[in-house]
Amino acid sequence: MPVKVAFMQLSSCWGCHQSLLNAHLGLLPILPELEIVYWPAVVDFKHDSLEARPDGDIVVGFIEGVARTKEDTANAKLMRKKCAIIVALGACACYGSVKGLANLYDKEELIKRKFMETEAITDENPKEPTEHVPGFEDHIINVKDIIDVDVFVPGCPPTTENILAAVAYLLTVVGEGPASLNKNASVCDSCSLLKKGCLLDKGILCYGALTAAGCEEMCPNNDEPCFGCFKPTTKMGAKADQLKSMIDSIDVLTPEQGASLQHFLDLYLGVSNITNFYFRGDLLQRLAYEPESFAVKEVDGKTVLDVAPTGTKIIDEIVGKALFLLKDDPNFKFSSKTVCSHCEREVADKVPVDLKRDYEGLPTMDKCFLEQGYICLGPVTQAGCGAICPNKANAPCLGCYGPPAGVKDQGAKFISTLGSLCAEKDVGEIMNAIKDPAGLFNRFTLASSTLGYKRHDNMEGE
Amino acid sequence: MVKEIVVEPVTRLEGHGGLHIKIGDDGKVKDVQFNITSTRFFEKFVEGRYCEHIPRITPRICGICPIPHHITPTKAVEDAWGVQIPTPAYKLRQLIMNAKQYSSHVLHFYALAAPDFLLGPMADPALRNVVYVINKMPDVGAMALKMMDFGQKLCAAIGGKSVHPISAIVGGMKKSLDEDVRDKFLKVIDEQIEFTKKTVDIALKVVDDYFDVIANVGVVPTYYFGMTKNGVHDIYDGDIRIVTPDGQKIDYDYHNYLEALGEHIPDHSYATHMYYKPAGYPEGIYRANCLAMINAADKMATPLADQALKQMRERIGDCPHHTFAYHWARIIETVEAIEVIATLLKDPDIVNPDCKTLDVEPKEGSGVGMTEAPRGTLLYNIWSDSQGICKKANLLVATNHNIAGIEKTLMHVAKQVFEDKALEGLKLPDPWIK
Repeated sequence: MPVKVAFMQLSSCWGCHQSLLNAHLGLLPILPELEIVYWPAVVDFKHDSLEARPDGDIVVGFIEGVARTKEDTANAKLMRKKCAIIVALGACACYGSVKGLANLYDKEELIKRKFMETEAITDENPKEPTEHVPGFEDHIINVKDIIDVDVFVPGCPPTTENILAAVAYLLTVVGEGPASLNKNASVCDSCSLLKKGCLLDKGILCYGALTAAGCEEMCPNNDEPCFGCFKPTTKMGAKADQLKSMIDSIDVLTPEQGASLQHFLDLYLGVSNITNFYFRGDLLQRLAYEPESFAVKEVDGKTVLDVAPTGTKIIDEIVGKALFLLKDDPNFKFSSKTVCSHCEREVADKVPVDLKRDYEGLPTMDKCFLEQGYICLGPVTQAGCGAICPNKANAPCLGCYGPPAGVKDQGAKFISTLGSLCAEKDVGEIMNAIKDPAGLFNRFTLASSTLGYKRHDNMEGE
Repeated sequence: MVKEIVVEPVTRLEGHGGLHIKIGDDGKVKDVQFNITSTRFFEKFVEGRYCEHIPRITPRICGICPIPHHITPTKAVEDAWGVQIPTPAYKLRQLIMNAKQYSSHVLHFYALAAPDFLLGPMADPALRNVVYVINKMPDVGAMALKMMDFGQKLCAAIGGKSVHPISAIVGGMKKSLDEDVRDKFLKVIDEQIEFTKKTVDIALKVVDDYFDVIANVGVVPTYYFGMTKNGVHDIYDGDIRIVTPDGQKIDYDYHNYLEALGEHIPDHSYATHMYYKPAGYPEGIYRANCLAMINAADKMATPLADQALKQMRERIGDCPHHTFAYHWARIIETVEAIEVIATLLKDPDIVNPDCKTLDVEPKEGSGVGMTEAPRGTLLYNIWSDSQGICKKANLLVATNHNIAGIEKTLMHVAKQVFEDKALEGLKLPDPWIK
């Protein structure tokens, strides 16, 4: 059965859609899986057909763009009502992108320049258009501040591969799984080690007891633990209780145990092995991005995180305990990679020579941009694009994938990075060399940064 | 009782628009509005940015045509600062512009327009889209996808990314094409030329099938706004050429764009209405984009395209006002694009690393850049201060140039449809896809 999807464009540029379409022949296997019920750029369904659908009728809704107009805000809300999963597709929907730079100005200044001042205008009294147009929001509002967003796919635009990975993943979440999948049995049922000697008995964590049957690989038959790719079963294997008490008895994770639990949760629950997008429904990602959002509870005298991904008590308790252990585990590293980790340029000490503007000279292809004196946001930008700009185009990273996990403000983080790299240099000189910090460091994230938008002090008497 | 017909949104359109048509008691069309319902104020928020960074912001005006929105401001800043770029950079920019033209025109023809022709205008709206076309005509679909893929990959090879490129810099290009990458494109160029020829055949068949529609619906005399280099069709470098409704051609140095172009702020659209200033508004409303480019050109820049242009002129005249001829003009431009690409791929300059001048210094002043994007002319006027920071910008982009002309055409067609019932007697072919 094809999955119902909708694509909504708020104020945007179509670039995320073009990036999806850039899959070209790669689209052919995906298109039959989708029932496109709204996508004005491509198909002819009108707005009223979207409004007429029952609430929650659409499985996945992709939102591109920012809320610049009141119509954008209303359309974001409409999508939330009609779609079970909302995907913020691209830098605009994730954090405002360059359109957020409009927040450096008041709405009145923007309107004045565009509709009243530009040089070719010939009307005597030009005014802001008001008929059959929606009106503007005071500033760019982030989609996540209007509605709940389930998935964030960053990038300006996200690469074709990132979008396809997100689409393919979401299809597996809502789809039916492989034909051989049997949720009424577990991996234990056909495990050759059950008689020969279970891995659990040797103290090795194996998750076959929690995992649905139907797998042809059967890692345990090769003496390797099962990590649960076939997802939860409804009929627990013989060793489920033994596994639970093994995990319950852990107080502090060994590195091996930590890696095992994370790998299990990755495959068993989620998406997090695809690190290019954030899916709130994925508990490991939530643990990395929003650890404070979990409640804790006591189970059999042990503290666990209060989660219920499967609705089966024993599994949920095991997952809750595993997450609780990983939460404070120093080895739990998640998606904290930056563009630098995919950059092919050589790094010596990262101390910049004199800071340069981009038109000056021509950088070499082999050396770190920062060391050559060019501003590059690689160190404060989430990985995922493959470092295309520095690797392929001899251009520094502009930061379009937004900040990596755990960093709230990309611009502030870059200022601190630059400050420590230039610790030996004269502060005044550095500040003098950077005349547009907001435009350079928060180009894609201004609307969701601590700067937000232009504010005025309310002076007394005014 | 006034009847109002509302189309919300207009689909298979890049951008956001709605349509309001008012029809009076007497059955006459009273008003037609094409409402563009969003704008993002780029012309204001590039103020205060480093001039050399504007080309890395403005591509986000349009994700379908980010290449010209990358190249045009670069040219404007070079104009303001008095920078001369090396020949290899010039050719690389020509190449990336034509690669974009090629993929975008193919996208427009097959994905946005073809569903109307191949399924017929009366087809079920649920099926009238490119996904259905690909299902029903897999060979043509695969060919179209391979053409778009070629163009987009070439854009990415030169621009770093095909959507929102980063390689142009004030003073030239950050990098030339690597030889092994160039060779990959050379290897398949003949196949692409064959695909283009097949596309021409399909388009000419569509022209024959729908000739009654082309010749009778939406034939609207207007001015045209195009760009030529000494009269020859050129999308990267040239000057303004206005064509009057009776086919006279008037040239302007693009620096003097304010002599030729006026801008009217309508009350019902965020995209403003451009017009030919000496003729006044609304008389001077012009149309832009491929048909305007074709009408402005004395000749095409390449042999096959020029032959295709002659063929069209023999059939519908030297300055056709046929709105449906836009598709035809787009195909002629597609032919030129692939011929230019083929020539440039063989040019040693595009792998020459000498593609950036070191002689670049900010200077106070105003600069203008102009190119032809796949949907119309882009004109960027950027004012730099002595430090190279943008003081002010005026961006006249394809949407501005198109909207007034589209609305005028819609008025004409609405009258044909609702007053003259012109559609009833039209000869429509059997759809290719049933």
